[in-house]
Amino acid sequence: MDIQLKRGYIEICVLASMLKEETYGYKLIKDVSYVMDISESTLYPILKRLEASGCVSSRNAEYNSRLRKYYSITNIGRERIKEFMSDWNDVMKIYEYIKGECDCE
Amino acid sequence: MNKNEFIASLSKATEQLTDDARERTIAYYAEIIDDRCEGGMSEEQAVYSLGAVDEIAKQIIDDAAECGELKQAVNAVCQNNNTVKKGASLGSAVLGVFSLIGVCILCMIVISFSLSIWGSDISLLIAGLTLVLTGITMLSSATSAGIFLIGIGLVILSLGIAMCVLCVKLSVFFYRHIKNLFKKSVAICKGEQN
Repeated sequence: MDIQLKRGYIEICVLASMLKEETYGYKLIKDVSYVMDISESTLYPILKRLEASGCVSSRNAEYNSRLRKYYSITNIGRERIKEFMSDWNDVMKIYEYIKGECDCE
Repeated sequence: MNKNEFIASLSKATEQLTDDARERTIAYYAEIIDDRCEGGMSEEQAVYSLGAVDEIAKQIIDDAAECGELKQAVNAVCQNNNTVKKGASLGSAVLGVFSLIGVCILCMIVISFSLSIWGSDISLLIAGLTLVLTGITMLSSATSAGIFLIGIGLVILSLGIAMCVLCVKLSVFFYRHIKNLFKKSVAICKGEQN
């Protein structure tokens, strides 16, 4: 899969995995890994960008006598998911068109 | 390699980062290692699963360069930042306001144009319907004139319906484009546009 495209999908998957409750790095990797291959090094810049763009907020909290960073989705992040879902119909139309053209060959 | 050795190597390999960025990076990887260990891995396994330090550091530095989190970049940017930022934000705001005014004028033109077309549509529909009804009532007394009127009425009615469909499509088209233009203008105002 194209790297930029994959990065976009991972961003949405990361945001979606925060919809029910706040989460942390390791859990995010485990959750998103069910649908896409993702490593810690891939996730780190994505989290950073999502936080910088206001889609995600974070807080440090003590866990087992150490600090753990928890991430929550913001309203901007929720809007981003909505936009993705509404764009999806257009993407499917393009996919169907390309598929149709390929089948004709 | 255990956790402390990994952290020391990563810290050394990311010396180009600003102190804050490096601290956040180290905290992130330290947390991942701790979580993996709690998940049942040994420290060595947890570190091994992360991959080579050099590759991790390279990816972090490449990304930091894009975000302006390298020490050199921050220094260079700091020298010019204030003047450039002020000029850019003022320019964006002025451009954004002009764009918004333009969009509002366009909006008014489109609305008045749409209203006049909708008025013509409704007139056509009413005229068509009246002719058809008149034709029907005349059928018993003057059959040929009644049929003629019904025919003309149906033609005008179908013209009205066709124009209605066209108007709906045009309205949706203009609504989408004006919405996009409005969003772009707001983005320019906020200085988000490149």
